This record gives sequence, structure tokens and C-alpha cells, in this order.
Amino acid sequence: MDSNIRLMKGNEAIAEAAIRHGVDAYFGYPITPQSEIIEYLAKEDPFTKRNGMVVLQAESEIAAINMVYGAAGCGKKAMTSSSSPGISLKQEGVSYLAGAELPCVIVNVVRGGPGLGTIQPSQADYFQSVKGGGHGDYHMIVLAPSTVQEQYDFVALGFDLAFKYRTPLLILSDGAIGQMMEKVVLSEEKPRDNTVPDWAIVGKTPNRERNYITSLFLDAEVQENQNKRLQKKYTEIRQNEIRFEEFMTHDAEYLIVAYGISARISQKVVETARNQGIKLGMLRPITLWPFPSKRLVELSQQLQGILCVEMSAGQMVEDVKLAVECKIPVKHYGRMGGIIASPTEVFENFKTLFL
Amino acid sequence: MKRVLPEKYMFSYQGDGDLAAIGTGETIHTCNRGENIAIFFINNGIYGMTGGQMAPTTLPGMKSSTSPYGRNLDTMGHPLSLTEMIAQLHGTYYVTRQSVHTPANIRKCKQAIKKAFENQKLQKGLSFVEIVSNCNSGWKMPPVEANKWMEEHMFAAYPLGDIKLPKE
Repeated sequence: MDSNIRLMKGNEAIAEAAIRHGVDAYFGYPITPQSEIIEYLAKEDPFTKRNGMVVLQAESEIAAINMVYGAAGCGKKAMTSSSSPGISLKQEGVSYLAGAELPCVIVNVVRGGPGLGTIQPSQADYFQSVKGGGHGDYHMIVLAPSTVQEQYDFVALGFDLAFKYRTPLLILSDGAIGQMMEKVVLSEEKPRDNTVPDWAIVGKTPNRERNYITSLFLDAEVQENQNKRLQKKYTEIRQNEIRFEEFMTHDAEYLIVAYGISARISQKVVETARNQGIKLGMLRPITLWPFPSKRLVELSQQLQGILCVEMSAGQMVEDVKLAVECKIPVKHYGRMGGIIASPTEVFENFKTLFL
Repeated sequence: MKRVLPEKYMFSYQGDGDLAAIGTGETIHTCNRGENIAIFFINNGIYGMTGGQMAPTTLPGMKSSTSPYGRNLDTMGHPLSLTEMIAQLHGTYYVTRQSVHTPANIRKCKQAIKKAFENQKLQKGLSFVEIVSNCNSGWKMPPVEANKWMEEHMFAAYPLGDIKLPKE
């Protein structure tokens, strides 16, 4: 186990990343297709065998997210994970975390819905992830990994961003990336960091004012000011934290926009198209919120059309249309209910829609 | 919070709603895990802060804004005593029910609260102190009358005293 290169499942990569990054606490509840995260952590038993990280199987998703609230309020790096139906249960807690400006990382290994749905991969939780999800005016930063390596890397990046902006952050994965095995380059294991943020609740000492963490502001003016604070923060995040990756866009006349597992498939589609002399490129948003709208506008100057490839009925496509203000044709292709479209199928549909 | 800051004293101050209704699951499992904290449960038989609605602890026949004709056991269920329930769990160390309506009871209650924190200091596990209380605005009674009503009715349903004491 000394090697820093390992073959791992996407879910296991998240769990190992949590330990190596020095996360203080994980609270979870089993649900397919992400149970390997808590199983891996339980087996590793970092509390007694590695670095003292707390791992607790809560009695429900709701209990788990509220445990995250408690630990995050203590200034600790706390995370939870679940899959779609469980993430729905957590939404109240997420809204509280956003309202109280607490940093944490939440992982959603998405499965097909609505309802109890299926255990197969899906991307149908896009709206829930990027538009808020719970009640009130808020956003989470949303990172969308498309490889097992990114599953690993985004835990550290996620905590850095979450603490930088004091906001809950979501890693929006899916059942395919969570379950598939790939090579992962692991980082060195960091000791847990005992630095206490100045806002954390750790028991008042005589030499300072008490800290108070709440999302309750009964006075409407105070609440509006809190909303303004949040919006200011979101503007700052929009300015600084947009991440994306481009593939063969330099001379592209057509563009696929896809994230996560759909981007892996779409890369193959771009290669196929290029082999046939079609100038197709791809933009892969890495942050789904904030969304790379500005880059899409720039690219749209050279484009004749955009195809959104998503495993949903068409959700991100709305943000693409908003970005380019429908000045060029924007179409959607996707499968639902847990079915992953094949590259051939996407390519054929691209040709039908645009050529 | 206790899991990530085990050296700090932790307590929760809870009412009928979060402890015995919406948070029943969390209450039971926190107690069952024997978390080394103190829970103080203020039972006034009604949802006071939201304006006097029926609570799980509302007594049979008792009127509230959501049981305006009195709590009907057939349609609204029976009063729920979480305190007796959690006393049966292996995870709880000390469970008691107190009140603060007379100086003598205040003294007893103080002792119970002190004991709860002493238990925590000694890492004994979960201490649970229920404090039967009144709610004169919710019950729509003057304070003195509310105290009398509490003695006559609440204590009958929620008898004061220790429910689970540590085995020494």
C-alpha cells in the first residue's frame, strides 16, 4: 500500500482523499451507488488507525447533514455523501449551512429519479444542485468530476473553496464515476489541521466576544442584509472560481457542452467527428455553479450550434441557452432513467440535429 | 460537535417539538449511541414559540390552537413520553424528570443539572434531564393558575423524580 498510484473505484477515491486531506469528520448513511464511501472509511477506521478522523454512520441522511452542521460550526472540515433520494433529504440542512455560512463538502453520486428511481447513473440532479436545492436564495459551489482522479482531487479543492468562501460545496458525481475503477495518483497524507477559524464555536474564552452561528434572523432588515452578504459572496465566487476544460475548440464550428461521465463519452464523439472532417469541439464545465457562461459567449462567436449532452431530460441546456442568449441554435441530447448514451448514438443525433 | 470537540462541555436545550416530534429519531439515536453530552428537555405540553399548537406531549382533552376542541386520543394519538422511552436504552446513563415551580424543586433541578455535567466530565455518557414546565400564554392562564394546573395535570402524566440512576 506504499505506492502512491492505485487502481480505485471513484467512491473509494473520495474516501481515501478525505483521510489524506485531513478531513476531521465524515457523517453518512448508506445508499446505492455510493455506499463504498462509508464502507471504505469504516474499514480504514481512521479514528483509531490513521489520523483520528471521525467516521460515523448516522441514523438518517437528515441526521448526517445536521452532524455536518455541528462539526462545521466547530470550524472542522466535515463532509457527507449520499445519492439522489438521500441528497433530497439533506436539502433543509444544506440551506441552513448556506444561511449560517458554514463550509463543508457534500458528495452526490447521482442515480436516476424522480422518486426512489433506479440505482443506475444519471445527471438529473443538475437543477437541484446549481439552483439552490433547498429553500431561500443561496448557491453551493458545484464541482463535477469526470474521472476517478478528479473524484480524489476535488475533495481537497472542495474544502479549500468551501473554507475560502465559508459555503457548502457539492461534488456532483454520478453512479458511473462512483463505481468505475481507474488509476489514481494519491497525494501525501496530511496531518489534520488544528487551526481554529476565528468564527468557529469552540467555547468562549475570556479574551474575546462569543461566536454565534445561526441561520435565524427574525428581523426582516437583518435578514435582508444577510442575503446581501451572501449575494456579494456569490458575485465574488462567479468572478474568481469558474473552472472548465476545452477539447479541440480552437477551430470548432460546433460545440458539445457536457460534464461528468457525459464529457467522457462526448470526447469520443469529438474524436469521431474530427476523423470525418467535422469541426466539433467540447467544453466541459468543471464548476457547474458558477457556470462558464462568459467562455460560452466568447466561443459562440465562431460556432454554428451547440449540443448539450446530459443524462437528463435537458437541464444544463437551459444555462447554455441563457449564456448565449439563444443567438445560435442550442440543442439537447440525453438519455434518462439511468441509461448512458453511447458515443455512436450521440454522434448520430448530433448529425441529425445539426448537419 | 461533541465528536469533534470531545474535551468541551456540550448540552442541548430542547422543547417538545424538536425533541419529541420532528427530532424523535435523532433524540433516540443520540441517546442510544450514548453520546457524552447533556440533554435538557423543557416539556410544557404545547408548542409555545410557534404560538400554542398541539405538541406530542399535549395532554388528553387539552386545548391548543390545533386541537381547539381538546386533544382527541382517537384521532390525535396519545401523549408521548420520550423520557421513559429513552431510559430503556442502553446508551443513557442518567435520566431524570424535574420541575422549577417551587424553590425546593428549583434546588432539586439544579442538583440534577449539576449531576448531568459532572457525568459528562467523568465521561459517563448521556444524561437526560426533563423539566416539566408551564406555558401561561399558550395555556391561556395566569402564571399562578398555570403552575397549579401543571401540578394537578402535568405531573400526573409526567411524574417527577429520577427514572434511571447510574448503577454504582
